[in-house]
Amino acid sequence: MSLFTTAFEPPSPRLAPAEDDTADNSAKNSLASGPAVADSAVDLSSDDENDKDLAGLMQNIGLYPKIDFTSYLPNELLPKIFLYLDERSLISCMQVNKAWNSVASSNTVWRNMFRRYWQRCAITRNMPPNTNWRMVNKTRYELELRWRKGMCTTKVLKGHSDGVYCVQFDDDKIITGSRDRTIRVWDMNTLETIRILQREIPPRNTPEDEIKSYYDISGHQGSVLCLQYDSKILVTGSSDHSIIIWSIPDYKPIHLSRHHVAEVLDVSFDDKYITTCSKDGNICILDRRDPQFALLRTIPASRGTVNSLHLKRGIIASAGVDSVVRIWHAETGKRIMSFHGHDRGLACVQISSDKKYVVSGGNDNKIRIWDLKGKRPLAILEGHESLVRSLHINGRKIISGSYDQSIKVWDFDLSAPLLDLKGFHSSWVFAAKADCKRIVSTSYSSDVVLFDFTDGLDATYLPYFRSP
Amino acid sequence: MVKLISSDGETFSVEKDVAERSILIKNMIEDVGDSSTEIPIPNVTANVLKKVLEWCEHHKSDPAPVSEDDNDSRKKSTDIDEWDQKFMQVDQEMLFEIILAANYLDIKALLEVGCKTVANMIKGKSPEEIRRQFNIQMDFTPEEEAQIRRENEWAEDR
Repeated sequence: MSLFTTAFEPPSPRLAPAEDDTADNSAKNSLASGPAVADSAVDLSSDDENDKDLAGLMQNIGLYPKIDFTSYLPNELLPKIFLYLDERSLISCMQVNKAWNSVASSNTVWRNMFRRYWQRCAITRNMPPNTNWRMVNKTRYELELRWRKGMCTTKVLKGHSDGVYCVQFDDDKIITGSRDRTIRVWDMNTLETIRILQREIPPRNTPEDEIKSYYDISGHQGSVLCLQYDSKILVTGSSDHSIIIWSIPDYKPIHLSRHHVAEVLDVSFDDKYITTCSKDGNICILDRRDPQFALLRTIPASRGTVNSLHLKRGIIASAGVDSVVRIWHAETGKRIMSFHGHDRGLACVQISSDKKYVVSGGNDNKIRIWDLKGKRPLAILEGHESLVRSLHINGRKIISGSYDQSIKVWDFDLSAPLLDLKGFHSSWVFAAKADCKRIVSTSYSSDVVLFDFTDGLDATYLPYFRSP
Repeated sequence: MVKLISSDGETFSVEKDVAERSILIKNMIEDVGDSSTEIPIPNVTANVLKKVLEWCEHHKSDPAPVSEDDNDSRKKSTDIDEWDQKFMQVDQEMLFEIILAANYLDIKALLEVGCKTVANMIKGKSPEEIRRQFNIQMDFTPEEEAQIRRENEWAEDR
């Protein structure tokens, strides 16, 4: 297990936004330094000599009284003003005098600050009584700074004997699926393998053995290409054309489906549907609430391979070799819209958590952000030098993994690159997922890499941070 | 038309939908059931009320405010629309009076613009610059000041 800190140079923003309003922004304007303040006439009594605004000028020469509003306005209005400040301005306020300190250091103000600025990146749950919200913000601020500067420790998880196609993780565990036909469950704290899910090798002498083997659901007979889990089930799809549904937390195989006639390349489910896509060009929708996981619908989605799909609140986005992103209505199976623009085949597609955007990537090395309300791409993210194999959206970040062996993190709001993680994989990156604290990525080589951005941070409130 | 009487006795005749930007006035009109009665505004003087009504006139056909979640995430929280920025170019006393009036009259959007304007006067400034901005006396001992700075070093430029 290696442990080292990475310093990185941010990639030069080779950015081709399709909309002008993002073009002038740079990654520097992002979160921790606070929102950009309009430089225009708002600041009506600035001490800036260049301030040509008359009111400001008159104030500067003392014609208008300057007023300490903290004693002019009622107390209940003061937090409403401080609500719009960033950390550093708020800390300046704490240092103004004792009266200002008591307002600006109040728990209410800092709790509001967390909700306003950070809730889209991290949420906190079951906070302990007497939470010091200024310290919560401090931890969040330092964590965000580490993401922006690429300060993380990496650990390599060894166990699989072949390439690792898919991964998902949470605060307790990491689950990976591999070309070695196994699924491994790793403990997030010790990083040791705690379960290996694989097919029991049966004797295959008689025709009865063959039949038994066909109905054996103990594990996959081929590469494990895709997986997703929640608190109750794990669904894995394989090049053996089947999907297996496992119970969680005991990891018992409870169901095997063979609805595809070729490799199952991606899976995405919610509390209603389990959707899968395949090299056979179809999307299958299963009833998650049915004990037998009945097939509800097969959508002939494409004449070619459907490499990726993502189900989000009733809609499915799919992408494949025909380079078109398609959006489907999960309940009716009807196509809602298609996005054309990529030149080559697509490998991955994701719907944003607010269901406003779709992000796609593929063989033209580009990532496109599409507005679900419009037709044109909102932005094109360029930087990868080979096929974009994996996309994941976490909060306001997009994580991409590529056959150029790098993992990149992009700022969703600015459509700009934040981080370029190179040199950690020696082969094609197959999957990269993130929460607000870490990235876990896998590649064609058997190594699984964990990038931890929390190492050395105050741990008091860290366990309460969750990705939204 | 609605007649509003300021605290110093001046009468303002405004269209109903302008006056009803104020939830307080809207409720009063509903309670009275007759929009032709004169409505006293005892907490707001004529010069401030005039300014507030100017804002209400400009924003009379604004759509209902969207919830926090629907706000475009690409928009920054302290953005103020250009007209409002110009409108808020007033001396500090008037600015704080507008905030007080917006709070009293229950005009949420105006209160928000007022608070953002004050926040923008603070943003990015050092403690000393803030003291000068609002003419504030510093009352910390050097030890107290040093301690606060120490506790908050985390947010300094790195």
